[in-house]
Amino acid sequence: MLLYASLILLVVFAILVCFFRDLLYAAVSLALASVMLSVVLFQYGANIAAVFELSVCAGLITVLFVSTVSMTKDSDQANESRLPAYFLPFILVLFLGLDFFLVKWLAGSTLVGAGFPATPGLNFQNVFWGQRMTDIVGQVSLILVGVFGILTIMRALSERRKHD
Amino acid sequence: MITNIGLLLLLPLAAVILMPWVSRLHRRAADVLAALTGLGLVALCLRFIPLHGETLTLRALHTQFAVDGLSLLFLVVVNVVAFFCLLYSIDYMNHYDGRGKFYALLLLMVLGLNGILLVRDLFSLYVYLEIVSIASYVLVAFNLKWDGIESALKYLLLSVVATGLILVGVGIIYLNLGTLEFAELKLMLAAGSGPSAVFLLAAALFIAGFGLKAAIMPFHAWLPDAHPSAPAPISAMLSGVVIKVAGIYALTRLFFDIYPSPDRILNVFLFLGVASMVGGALIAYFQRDIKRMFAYSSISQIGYILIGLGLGNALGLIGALFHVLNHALFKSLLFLNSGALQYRTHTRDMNEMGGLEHRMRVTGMTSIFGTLSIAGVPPFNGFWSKLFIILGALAAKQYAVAVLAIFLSIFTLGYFLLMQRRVFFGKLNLKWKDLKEVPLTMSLAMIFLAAQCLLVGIFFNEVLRYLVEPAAAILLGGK
Repeated sequence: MLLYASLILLVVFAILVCFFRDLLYAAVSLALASVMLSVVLFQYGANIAAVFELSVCAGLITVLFVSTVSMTKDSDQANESRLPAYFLPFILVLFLGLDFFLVKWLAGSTLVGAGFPATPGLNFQNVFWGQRMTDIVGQVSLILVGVFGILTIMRALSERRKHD
Repeated sequence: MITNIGLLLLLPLAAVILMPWVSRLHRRAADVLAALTGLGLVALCLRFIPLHGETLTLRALHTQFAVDGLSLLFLVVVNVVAFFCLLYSIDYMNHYDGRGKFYALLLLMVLGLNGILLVRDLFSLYVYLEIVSIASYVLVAFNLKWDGIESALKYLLLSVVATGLILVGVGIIYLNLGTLEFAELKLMLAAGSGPSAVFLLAAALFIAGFGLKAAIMPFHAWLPDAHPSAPAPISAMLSGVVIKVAGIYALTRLFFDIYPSPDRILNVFLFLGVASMVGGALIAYFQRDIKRMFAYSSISQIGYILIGLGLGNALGLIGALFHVLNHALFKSLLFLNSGALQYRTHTRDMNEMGGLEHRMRVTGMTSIFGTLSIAGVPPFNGFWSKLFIILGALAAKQYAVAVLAIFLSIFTLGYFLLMQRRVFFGKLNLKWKDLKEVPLTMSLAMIFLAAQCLLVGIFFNEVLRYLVEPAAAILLGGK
């Protein structure tokens, strides 16, 4: 039940990203889609991918997006064409079709007996501190890149405030 | 010695964490910390060279990092070029604010590159690839001007596609084999576990994804914009190091060390290599912007590397790996030259320059070294690697490829000499009459890189024996 609810919410939040005119709402919607994807990945037993989806995509990337968006002024907003939004449903149908055939092909040729069962007793702590210790330096570095990235971009904001 | 492997990651990490405090102590404190970190990393890498041929593995706290011949060659390339870029940045960054942030991001980029070279599983490789990518986006946009931000956005959008393709490829491998460890994958793929059609699909995704990172034609669209907009040391890092580690190293590790390397994948390399070599050179010829010209020329030189890999024989592989080292040296030199020109003239348009050799002798002289190296003129380093690639093509009976490689080498000499004439020779443009040479650290970085272009060419035998051949042995052993 949780799986299906997460999948439906994932699709809803992902579609909303394309329809929000306010970039801040779009960024938050994208973050929620990432959280839902993380739940789906946990449900499927893909703990490693779930951990990274949650920490990097839902966390770090959202902070980057929100801080960048918050730096823009109202006058910076461009009048965008609505044309891409009209094409969106067709593109969605096209991608869903492609997705269907790709998954069907992969399922027919490989998934039978492939993969491996999710190990019982695995949780966030086990995966993060036990299995993926190799990536801890990577995780710390990713967060530092995000922090320094934001600080670098924020230079423009502080300069602008000085001028104002 | 084994603990040094961990230091290749921990040293830059410690410097990055200290950077915000150190940069407040004194204006030059951040320069000293960054340069010393770079020097320390070079020293750590050089200590591995006497152990050529061996594989050192660090296992501690559930981690596994290793250095073998292939990763050692790339580690030396990354850290040597990074050190000279850090040295060059000391004076170059006078044009910018946020010096501490710049060094922190650059060191994080180096950490990410070292991580890619040290990890032994596909997912960790992906994580470190992301560190390099995010640091690169911000550094490309570091000037916070319109062109930099636009280029960074373009780079980000295409790079996201690349990492998406790579991640799907990783997913397919994990789904079918249940592991991402290099050693286990190698055994399983060699034993023919799983359906080959699916692994070919994963291979196609890896070629497209890492090909985009390596800016191979037709996946090159981000590179000619990103390089000119970035600060010069970042252009040097991107062209000299990032496209090689994030693209060429990953492809090499996958298809020579892990995959059983079927001939059709090598043919794809050969085809993409020829397209990049020819396409990049032809477009470079028509450029007025000096950094755009160098960027397109990088695509052409990456083509040479791919051709060497695609040939699949010992000469081709040695040539390709040697060209990785050589291209990193001479292309970073040339980008630092272009940065020096922009530092003084505030333009990248070659038609606005002219006669600058009289005013900027160090930049002019070192750029001649770079030109002769990239064109493959003996005894400079580029000559030997191109020679090996051409001999490899002849040995593989790819005569058309060999002829094209020779012709394009002459063509490269042609458009680089044209650049020399437009920028450094001829009548001095009067508006540059009061121009001076760039400050000391910028000049020193260019001089050292130019000297290496010559010294590697003269002592090519030693470089081959200690760095290139152990790397090639891994690739030949993986076939």
